Amino acid sequence: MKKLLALALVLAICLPVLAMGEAATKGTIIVGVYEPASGASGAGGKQETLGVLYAHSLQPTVTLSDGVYDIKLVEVDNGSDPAKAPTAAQTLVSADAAIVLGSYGSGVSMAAADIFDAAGLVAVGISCTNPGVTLGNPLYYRICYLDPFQGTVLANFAKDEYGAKKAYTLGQLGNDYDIGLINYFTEAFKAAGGEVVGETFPEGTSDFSAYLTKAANEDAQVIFAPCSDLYAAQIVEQAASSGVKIPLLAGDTWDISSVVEAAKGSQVSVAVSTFFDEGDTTGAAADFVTGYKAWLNANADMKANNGGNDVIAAVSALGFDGYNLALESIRKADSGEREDIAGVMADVTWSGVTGMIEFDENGDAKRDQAFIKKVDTQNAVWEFVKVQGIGQ
Amino acid sequence: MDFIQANLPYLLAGISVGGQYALISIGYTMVYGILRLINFAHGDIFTVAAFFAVYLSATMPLIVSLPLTVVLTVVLGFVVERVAYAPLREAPRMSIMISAIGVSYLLQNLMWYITGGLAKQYVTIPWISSSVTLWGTTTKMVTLVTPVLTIILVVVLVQLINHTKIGMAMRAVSKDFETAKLMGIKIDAVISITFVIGSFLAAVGSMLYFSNYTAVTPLAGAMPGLKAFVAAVFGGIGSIPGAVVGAFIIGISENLLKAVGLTAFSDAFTFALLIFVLVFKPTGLFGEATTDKV
Amino acid sequence: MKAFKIILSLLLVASAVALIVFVGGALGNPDDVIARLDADNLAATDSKLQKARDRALESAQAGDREKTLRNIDRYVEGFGDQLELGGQNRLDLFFYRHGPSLIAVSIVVIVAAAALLVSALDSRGRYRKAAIYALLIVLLYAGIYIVENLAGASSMLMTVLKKGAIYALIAVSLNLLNGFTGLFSLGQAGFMLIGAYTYAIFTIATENRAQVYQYYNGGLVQFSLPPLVALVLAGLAAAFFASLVGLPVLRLKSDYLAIATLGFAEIIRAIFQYDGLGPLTNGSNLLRKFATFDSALFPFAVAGVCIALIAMLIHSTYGRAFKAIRDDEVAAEAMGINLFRHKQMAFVISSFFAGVGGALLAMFQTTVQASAFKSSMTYELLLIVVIGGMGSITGSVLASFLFIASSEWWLRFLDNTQMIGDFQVPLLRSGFRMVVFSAIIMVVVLFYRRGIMGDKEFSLKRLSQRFRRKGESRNA
Repeated sequence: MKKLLALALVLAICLPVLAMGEAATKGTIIVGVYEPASGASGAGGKQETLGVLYAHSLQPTVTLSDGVYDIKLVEVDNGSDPAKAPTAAQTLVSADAAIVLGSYGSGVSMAAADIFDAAGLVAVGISCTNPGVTLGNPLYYRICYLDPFQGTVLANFAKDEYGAKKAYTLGQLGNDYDIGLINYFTEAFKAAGGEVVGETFPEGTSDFSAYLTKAANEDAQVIFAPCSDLYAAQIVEQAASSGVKIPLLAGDTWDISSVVEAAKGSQVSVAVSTFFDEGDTTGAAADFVTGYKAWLNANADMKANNGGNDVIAAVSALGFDGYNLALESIRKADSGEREDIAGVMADVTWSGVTGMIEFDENGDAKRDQAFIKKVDTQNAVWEFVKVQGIGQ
Repeated sequence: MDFIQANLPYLLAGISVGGQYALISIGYTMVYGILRLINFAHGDIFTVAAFFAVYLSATMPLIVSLPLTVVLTVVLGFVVERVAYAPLREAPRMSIMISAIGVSYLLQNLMWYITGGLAKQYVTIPWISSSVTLWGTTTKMVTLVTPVLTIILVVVLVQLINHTKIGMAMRAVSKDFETAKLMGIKIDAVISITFVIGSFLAAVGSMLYFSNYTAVTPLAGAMPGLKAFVAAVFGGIGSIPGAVVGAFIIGISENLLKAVGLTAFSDAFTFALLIFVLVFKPTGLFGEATTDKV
Repeated sequence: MKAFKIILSLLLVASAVALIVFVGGALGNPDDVIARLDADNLAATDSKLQKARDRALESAQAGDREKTLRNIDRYVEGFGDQLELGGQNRLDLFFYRHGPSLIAVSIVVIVAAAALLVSALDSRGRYRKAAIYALLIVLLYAGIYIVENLAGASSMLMTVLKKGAIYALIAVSLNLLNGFTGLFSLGQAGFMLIGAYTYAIFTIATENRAQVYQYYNGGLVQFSLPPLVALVLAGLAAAFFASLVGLPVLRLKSDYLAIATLGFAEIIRAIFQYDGLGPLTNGSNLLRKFATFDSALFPFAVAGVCIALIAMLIHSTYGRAFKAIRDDEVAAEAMGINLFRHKQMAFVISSFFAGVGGALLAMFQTTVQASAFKSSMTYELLLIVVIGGMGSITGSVLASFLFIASSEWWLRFLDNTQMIGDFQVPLLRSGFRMVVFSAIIMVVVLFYRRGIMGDKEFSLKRLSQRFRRKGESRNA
């Protein structure tokens, strides 16, 4: 019996060694993926991670002046919760990540910023739009547009498209993304002569009927509710079943297939601003769309993480760009060392599927346009409306 | 008419959610009446019932999956009592309460593990989930069904407790645990039946609740559970009609609070009400006064 | 014998001081060594090597020890075969890396020598106990310091130790209520919240306030306090709220008290998230950029002092009154103990330390948000107290470290798929860790109801007695 056990132990130790084989590359560079895989933003975080995984599957190595390096992705789940964020961020620091991508959701990004900063680790925010993420955090960069921009775009859209004079805003208490975007929307909407009534709901709310009723009672012409995807689907669902006729408007977090599902076959009108449009058929974007869809359809697990279909979320496209930008920064630094990457990061540029990415002095991408999409409730798909900037 | 149109939705939502709280709070109040235990896991059993329905309905028709959901939930309630509470019968009350917290923690983590921490869409039950229009207000059928169904179930339950042998045993045990034991009442059987009834009502409540609010997450039942408990205390713990009245009051006042715009405090209000009741009338609206024996 | 002890202790002190002087001299700046490593000046031809060297030099000049060590490691790892790593270089690197640890060891030696001296001069053994305790405490803190130096301040081990120390303080404060006074309170998260917010609000640097309070024009408070003052203030704020809350709820009995305190914690959370208080609390948004700590010594020192204070309280007459209330309220009252006054006292003191613990937790997390302080946080703490043993301070401390280490670190592997060769271990995926963890807790709650320590304390005397007894029984 003892001999058998010993044999088994020896085997267990040897097997992984045998499986390793010889490495053809010079070394490994670790890219941390700091995203929520659970909690209120779990679905969105998974889609963002999918974009990164797809990009990694296309380019799993990077060539530097002294040879080819493997890129290894280390994923941690920040649980959509700023209280869990420090340990998750710490895990990436301990795992020797050279650069970090993420996160979906601004609150968790802000909660981790100090830890990345102390470790001298560059973080690239993919879809966190709150200005606080990069402001005062010199090592935090971001590739998407910001809330002051997005808020203004949406306020303009509400005025132009719906002719709204009064808006009702609804956000989750304690969610930096919601509160921030609502704040900038309100500023822009009021500046244009509109009136705003605002409310917040506590975490874990599932009854939105009272809020929707309130919006109707206030005679609002548009409901602006940029919240996490978990609540987005519920709000749309309840708006659909209680026959709310006021158009719903939200930011990038609502660009998710569960919103379309909830609105299917009803009378609700839903519009969102987002980073990327699937129908874009110009060059790199078209290749990405076909390639990514094929990849999703070939991997059952991945497809399940995308919500069970092959509709491309804007955050996946951004995740794709984020990974490629990280590779570019490693190439530019010609090194997998944190300090070297930090040294060159401000000058890195990348022409991605969501457009040209260049950083300004705060480390934010210079972006001047957003895509507006609407739900086509009959066919249950997103319908492209227009590209909107704030110039007009 | 405008006033009605503006406020009817709040009232309807309040009555509906009140009915759902009522179904949960009966489980709390009966268990407390007999074991003097706050069954912290009850809210999680309510959530597990929702996941049963989601997963079962994925593979079988509703006509099979919904009854099966009820059966499984009842079995779960029974098992939890046998495994986590029965061994602690002689232990201090604090131990058994801690065990309840432990069960709640375990159930939440299990649900989290199985679902991957993401929300699941609840099944669409025909008729109940369809929309109806009432005086210009559109709502789901379930909103109207809930209070009616709740009252029917409660009346049946009260009949059961007042006019059957097992009901009599339950009353005896809750009046005096030790004496009932000496009189030859099978305590364990009575306790098991209490949990079975509580879980059954929680399963029904879960179907109604999640037909209205369709996203099921592992923590979805925690807050309704806590509020249902508050309702039980408010109505006088141990009293079934008290729990029902308390639940409706809490459901309605919570929604009226939202109507005035104090949404941030709608949860806090429930607890403020609880503390107010505990301090000024610890036995609740319908509770019986007890005296401490030295 | 006495003379021998005296001479030995003086010798020890002398050698320790010599070591400190020597190491202190070698600690200096490592620029020199780093430059010398590249003896053949390969940097001139190899740009990669040059970069690696410059990184190390840069961080050394910036005075960032941890980064310097990391960069030296990377430098040596990457180009070790081309560098001059022998002789003086090896010695210098060794002293740069381990110098602080050696100094800590020297300090332990000095204290040990002092203890030896005391035992030699103090013939009646009056100060023996104090000397032993002093030695143990210095040993503990020196140990933490050395471990931190070896493992690195940002390693998982140190993260767990820091959080463990903070939880230990809060668990002990909860135990004071639940285990020693018999008050089943579930409001600890609320008081931690008050402490965490008070601390954060008053220590955000003035220049960062505009950034943190971005929606409230920089907020109401426009000054910042030193961290230690804010820490005490955090405790006081929590204690103040506790005295208000205590008035109505402490008259309630067991489970009613539990549910009422739970309710109060929820109310406190709602108030702190209220938009109207935004200029003070930043509404429901994250508070950040406040003063934090780097070294694990800080939380260990604060938690150590606080736990010692609680232990002293428990061993005083008040503590005996608390236990009397726990064991039988009616009897305690009959003996002339003012029930309400003592309960109120235990409640307020416990909340004070919960507030301090909350502030430490905020420092540990570097950011703080009210939504994190849910009732589940109190439940976790309660489970820690139960695992450690109701009514045992050392039990709570031990259980805190075990709890944090297993939930955050040891069981992490359960969350990732593991391959043994081509065989994928079933069940392992995200979330399994917490399932296993909560199952273990259930086992403890059901089968080891008394927890690790029961209501006993860990003490050297008892340990040595037990060993002696075992030895005796074996001899007999």
